[in-house]
Amino acid sequence: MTRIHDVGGRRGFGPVPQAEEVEPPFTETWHARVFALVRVLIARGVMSHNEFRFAREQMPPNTYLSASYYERLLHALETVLVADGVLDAEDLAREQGAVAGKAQTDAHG
Amino acid sequence: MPTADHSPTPAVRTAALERLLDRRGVVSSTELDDWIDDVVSRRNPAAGATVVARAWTEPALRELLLTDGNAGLDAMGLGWAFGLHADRRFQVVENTARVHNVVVCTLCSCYPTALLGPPPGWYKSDAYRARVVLEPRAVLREFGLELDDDVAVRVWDSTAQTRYMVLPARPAGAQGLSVEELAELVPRNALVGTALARRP
Repeated sequence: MTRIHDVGGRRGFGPVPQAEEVEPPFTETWHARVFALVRVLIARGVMSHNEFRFAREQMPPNTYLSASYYERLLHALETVLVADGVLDAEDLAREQGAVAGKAQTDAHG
Repeated sequence: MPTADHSPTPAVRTAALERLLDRRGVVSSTELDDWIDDVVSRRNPAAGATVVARAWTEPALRELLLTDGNAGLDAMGLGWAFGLHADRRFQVVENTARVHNVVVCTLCSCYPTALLGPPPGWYKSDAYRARVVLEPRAVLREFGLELDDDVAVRVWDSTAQTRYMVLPARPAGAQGLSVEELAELVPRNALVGTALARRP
């Protein structure tokens, strides 16, 4: 049984989004960080390429289709790391709060 | 900017992941910095353009690249030195007067990143992944590439095990140029099949 990620041949998608001929490899800092995290964690054996791919493919259709490419990687990364026990979900939520709080403080000077 | 949705942004989520993993000693931020620096400085379409330029000028290397892409890259000192998957196959597909090749990964975004750097946004788009296997000529037309009816189009769907690069046809009027000058004629899109090599 296939899933939503298997889009080859599906109809209903519009024009291919065009971009500049030469674009930077990463347009946002977090894109580069997510990409690097995925590659380094796999290279270090913290997660396998197969389980990471599987996590991406298990995303619910609505979540998958409305997520950008790097959002999909991020979602799968969080899922695998928590499921494998590398990180605790509560610790992660707490860290997100700390990062967001610091960002607010920095923004307001 | 205030929004109705107060869930953490992707940037916040990524920073949180990185900080936790660093603090736990799983992977350091410095390792990530080094990886990104390596990708940005060494893995880029110019490397692929050089492979093409040398294939155009060295028949033995061209033959090796077409029969065993990994061996061809090794012979050029450009092996899959990224160390991620030494067993990953690199296959070069050659454009001719009768055949035009184009590459996709319909399931995700498999791409010869270790050689060319990260794939472009359009390659990763759902629209490209869905449509290029269904109506390649229409998609190529969107890129400004119109193929004659007597040219066959071959679409190569990449996998976790096999990555493809197109060897575009050498353009007319490109005799007597150096490898560097020839490489300048090869835009990144020609390595994926959505463009041709430029004329000098």
